[in-house]
Amino acid sequence: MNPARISWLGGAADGSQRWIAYHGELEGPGLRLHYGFDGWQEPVQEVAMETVEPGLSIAEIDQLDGHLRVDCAITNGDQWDNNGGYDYRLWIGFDALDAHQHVSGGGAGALGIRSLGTAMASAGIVAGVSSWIDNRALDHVDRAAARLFPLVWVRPGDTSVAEVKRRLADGAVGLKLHPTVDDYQADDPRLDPYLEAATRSGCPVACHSAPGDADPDHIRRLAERFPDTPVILYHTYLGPEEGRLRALEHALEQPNLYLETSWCRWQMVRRLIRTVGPDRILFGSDASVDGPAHYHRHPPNVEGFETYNEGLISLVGSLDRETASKVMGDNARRLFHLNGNSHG
Amino acid sequence: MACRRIVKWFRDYADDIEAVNIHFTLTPGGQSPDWERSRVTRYMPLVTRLFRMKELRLPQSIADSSGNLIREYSLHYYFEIWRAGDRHYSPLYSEEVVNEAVNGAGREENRRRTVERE
Repeated sequence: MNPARISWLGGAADGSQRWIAYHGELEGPGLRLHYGFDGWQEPVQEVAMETVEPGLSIAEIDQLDGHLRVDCAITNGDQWDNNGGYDYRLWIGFDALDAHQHVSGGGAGALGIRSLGTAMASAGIVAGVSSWIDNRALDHVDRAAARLFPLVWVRPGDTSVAEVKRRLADGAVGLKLHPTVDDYQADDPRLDPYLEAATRSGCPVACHSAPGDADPDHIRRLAERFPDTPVILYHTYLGPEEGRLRALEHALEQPNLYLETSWCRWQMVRRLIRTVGPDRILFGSDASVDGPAHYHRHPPNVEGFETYNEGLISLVGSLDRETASKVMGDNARRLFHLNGNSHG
Repeated sequence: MACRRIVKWFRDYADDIEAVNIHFTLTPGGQSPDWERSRVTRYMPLVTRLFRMKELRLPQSIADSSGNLIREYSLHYYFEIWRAGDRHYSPLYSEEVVNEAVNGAGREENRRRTVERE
């Protein structure tokens, strides 16, 4: 599984970089890159690809200025590689990282590693922060190839602190709390030993935010007890707008709270950014709970009105480049301590 | 506040089961569940190599359509099974819960084992 079968040669592209690399099965003298911009807007174009070594072909494209994203597929004249029908995408100027993903293991289903890889490639996502309700699931996948950074799923009273410390030392980049399905309140004092471990490791804690036990009021109280530990409200709030606005108020008042955007429409994301600033908002999608089509499923899966791919085009287009880079990946890289600003 | 505790079990029927959640809701006796309106989801951890268990904490009473508190109600539940990256669902189960109006009666546990097979 490789979510970046199409990539910018040498990393994220800025305005002057125009080489695209294809690591795939198709190759040969007739290979062509079929591409468009910003959601396959016309004119759709083709350019010849040069196979420079087995499994690696490259093409130079131009006219990137003024565009946000390249949509593409590969053909050798007889066959197409269009990412299983979902196409490939690359963001121009930054490497997108999804701060909220799930993978259940190596299976072929919606939450298997292959589905996630296809989904990521379809949205230009080069890396992700991932968790699963059973921590052992991520032990059996090639996380480096998939460019996944795991969280340790903590179930108070069940998960041992020793396991948390071991997993953090072994490459996990933070903790994941899901008070709703694990039946505790987000400010449960039994969480304190885990938060202390996170604080000592300098890693953040991501917490499902939703009505009930995972309410932002509870999450804020947890964040207040550990002011030096970033606490990320996953989904901001998975519920009515009233809760999202309450989460927003908490973030304004509690500086170690961060908001992740899965299942929020793009205009809500823009509102979050404008209110708390560009440094504390993290793009996330909950991929790939909807399978390989997660980022552009029809009917739309973001509140029934928009797809992630549609919403992200609008969102990124409405932001300055620096803000877009932060929200679409650099904030997550900073919080989770991931390899600088431009690498998965 | 006292609650009724009911234990639900699930037996893993394959080696590649990745997670199991139980979804449940409560209604006055005989009414069908409205999952969009009311639903609780709980993860079922493995407690042995094959068996998962979750203790559900249920109220002593619920309100009927007239707002009256009733101590007899229906528990509706099903299992969501993640296997090889795909989601599968068990059949829907319903059972009657009767809470005695005396102190302590609600603490009795239903230890009936629910075993799922494909």
